[in-house]
Amino acid sequence: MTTLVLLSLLGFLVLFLGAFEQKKAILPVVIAGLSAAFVTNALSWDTSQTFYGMMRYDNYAVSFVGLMIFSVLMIMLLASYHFRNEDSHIADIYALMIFTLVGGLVMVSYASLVMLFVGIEILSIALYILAGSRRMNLSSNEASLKYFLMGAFASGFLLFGITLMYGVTGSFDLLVISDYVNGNEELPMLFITGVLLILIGFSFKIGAVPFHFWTPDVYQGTPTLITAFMATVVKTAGIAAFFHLFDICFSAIDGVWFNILWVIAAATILLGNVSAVMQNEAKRMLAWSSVAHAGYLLIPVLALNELSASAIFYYTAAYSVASISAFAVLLGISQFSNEMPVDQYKGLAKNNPIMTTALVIAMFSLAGIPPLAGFFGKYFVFVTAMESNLNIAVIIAIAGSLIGIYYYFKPVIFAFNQEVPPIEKIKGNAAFNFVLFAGIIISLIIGIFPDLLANLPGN
Amino acid sequence: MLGFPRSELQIMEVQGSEYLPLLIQLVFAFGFVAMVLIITHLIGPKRKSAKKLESFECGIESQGNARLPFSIKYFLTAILFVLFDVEVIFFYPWATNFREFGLQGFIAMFIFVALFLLGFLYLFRKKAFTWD
Repeated sequence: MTTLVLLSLLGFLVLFLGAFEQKKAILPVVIAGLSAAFVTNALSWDTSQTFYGMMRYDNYAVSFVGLMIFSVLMIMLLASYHFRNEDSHIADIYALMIFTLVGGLVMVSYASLVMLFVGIEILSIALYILAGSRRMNLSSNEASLKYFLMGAFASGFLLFGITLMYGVTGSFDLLVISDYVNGNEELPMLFITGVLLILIGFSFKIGAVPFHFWTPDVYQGTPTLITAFMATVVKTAGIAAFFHLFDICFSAIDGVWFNILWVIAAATILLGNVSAVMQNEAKRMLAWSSVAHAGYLLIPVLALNELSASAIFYYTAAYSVASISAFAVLLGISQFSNEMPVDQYKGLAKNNPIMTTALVIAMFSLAGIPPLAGFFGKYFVFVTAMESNLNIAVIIAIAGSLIGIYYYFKPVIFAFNQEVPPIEKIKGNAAFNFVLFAGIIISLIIGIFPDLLANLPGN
Repeated sequence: MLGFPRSELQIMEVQGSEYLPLLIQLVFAFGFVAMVLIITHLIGPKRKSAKKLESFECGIESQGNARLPFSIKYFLTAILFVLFDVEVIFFYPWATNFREFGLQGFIAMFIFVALFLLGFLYLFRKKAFTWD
């Protein structure tokens, strides 16, 4: 709760620093504030608290909030590089990112469906604006509008589902709903409809097939920095909220949603990977790859056993670190241009050793090559699935990863291409280089010592 | 635990027949609207002329299209008005229950107003009220 208050106040403070033109102070304040929030969050470990039946800040929440704060911190450092020549509206963009983080925090710690909805809206509304934050750019505006329309639509589904759930059980409280599910042999049709509507709402939010159509366009049109934000923090919050609800409330009635979610997960993995193969735009490729990763993340939700929470946490951590590195390299190469063909990576290796290393590590981690973090992420997901006898889903996921290797290796091969004149040395500031280094080291460390993160949220 | 009378809701068993009155009301509501529309259409006199079918018939001939580009200033004014007007709505229930809420209610409302004041300050600094 301290973390929530701290982050909200930090958002306000940044807004006012911007309004009073204290441009120099903004970044240090943001970094200090986020670090303080990270510490207060870590101090909440093992002090599971419930606030008025609305929020439950347990170890599950602490782990995911810690991960999200870390991702935001990395993206803020990148932002200082990306916005180095710009001076208007930076404070607003930083503040909106912090407010999005507040929404994410609520989404992983809700104990009541009302708070789930409030969290999703806090997160989404700030994101709609962030997606359109490059105001003079047509595709940024388009992304913002598309995201808004789709997000509003998805919220409608989710809200309808929540309403039906309230109509049947008489409560928004997750524990009451869970008691109702466990205490009744036969559930009314209204309740089942509610479960399915909530499932659809969440699938929209995390961009799972067949509700993924907004993802490529929105990810491509959005400014690259915000795309990195969407692909990591938002996806983490979405899948954590998804799992939280299904774990607590609907585990006893998996007959209702199991087959549907199975098809969604399998289709997401296959379509995401196959479509990513066919992309020529680097950003669009990463967008489709994030769709595919949403599919892998759905498998532990499907398995729903005692290993699931850890598998999801480890996977999102590995995926977030690798994605931020990948987007950082993309940001460095393309600078302020909108066109990002995959050919752009050609000739990167010669003069930019750090960026190339970061690119290689990030792509290998996303593809799932041992001993990097992404490999153990997939490994834990598959072990979780095998525990619940989801063998066919695992085979589909492995097939998906094999397809993935093709498009993840493409930028790497291009980077070492010697036929074209090599790219000149790209100058990054200290923060940019720090993010690259951190990406390389963390991907290696949590890959070699997966135990560091593997058992966090379950306890 | 929300303040809703959950016990009453739990007594009410959720079955199809419980919703029959609701369905009947729905049918009546739609039926009434449809009936009124059809009847006025049937018995009303019909005089159609070019003037009559214009968008605004207040005696003056309308000029141009209604979809004009208009200054963003008015949009901003409208948005800000809505924002600060909605705030006032929360004062009414608070004012009627002022005694029961006591000091705690006073502090809560103080924080609420302070947040709006901060928003006002932010808008002021962002030059949202400089209209030239």
